[in-house]
Amino acid sequence: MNNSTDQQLQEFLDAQQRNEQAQLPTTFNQEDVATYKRLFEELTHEPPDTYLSFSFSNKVTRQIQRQTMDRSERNAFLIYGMSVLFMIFVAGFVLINAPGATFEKSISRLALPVVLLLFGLGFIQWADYRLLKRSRRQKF
Amino acid sequence: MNDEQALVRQIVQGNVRAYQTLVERYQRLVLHMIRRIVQQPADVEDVCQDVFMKVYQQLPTYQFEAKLSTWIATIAYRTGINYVKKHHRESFHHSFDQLDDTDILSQLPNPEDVVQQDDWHAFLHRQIDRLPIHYRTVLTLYHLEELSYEEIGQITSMPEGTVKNYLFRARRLLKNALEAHQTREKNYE
Repeated sequence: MNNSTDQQLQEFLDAQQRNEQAQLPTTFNQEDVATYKRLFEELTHEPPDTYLSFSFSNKVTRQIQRQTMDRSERNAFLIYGMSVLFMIFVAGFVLINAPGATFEKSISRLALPVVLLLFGLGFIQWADYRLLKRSRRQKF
Repeated sequence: MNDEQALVRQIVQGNVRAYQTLVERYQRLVLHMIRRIVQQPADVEDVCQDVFMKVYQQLPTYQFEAKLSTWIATIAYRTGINYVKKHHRESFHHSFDQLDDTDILSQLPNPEDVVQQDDWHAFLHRQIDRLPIHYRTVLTLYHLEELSYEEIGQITSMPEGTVKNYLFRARRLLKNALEAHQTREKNYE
């Protein structure tokens, strides 16, 4: 079968399949018509092994929720960290500029709280990253 | 505001349950495309999941210019192609280099397939899997999803003429493969 006849036959079957008005001329080789009809019919069926797990949509939404939670946690930690640094800065500024205060005296008064604060922050960070398990591809 | 627009607005406002409805509505479309592009059954679900994560991230930029199904199919197509490029570079180039019909015809059907497969349905799907990616995608979108040439062009960024040409060539190749299979069966009988 030459190309143009082949194309005409495909166009006729296309039109038939999409419920358009089309009459199949009898000039076509009937074996070709039958083969193309089988092909067109089979192409409308799903290929084998085409499936998703039963809870696919649930899995996707859970992953989105987890990502959203991760993002808000990160933002919360960032704001927390910035606030603590700002607090330290303000406290230092007040102590250094207090009437009668010297630099050394202020540092010695600040040292212990700052060490404790940094230790506390460090502990929170460690607990967050070592004790909480996060996995992008967590199985359900 | 139609149902789809209302659904998108709800999702953009942070309603994750509404997104679950969207996933359920379009998961067959995405699955059919990814199954034909990626082919490895073990990877299909992961790639589908990636597609829906991207859809969720990009949904705030969706302006209702195209149908939602077309927009999602575009993301699925790009994600599938990128996946194949990244993980199966060899087969990807093989697929694109073989756009000459004479080359494909020499490999379609594989003589082993003809001998192995008695069931023509399974045989046909194996032959579809041997076609280049663009041919497979166009066949799936046109016949399984019943999209128009214009919509397929939007999804794949191909001109309508190219879509028609790929569709015609793919079907002719498959018809020739089927004929070869039928002849083999007759001879066997």
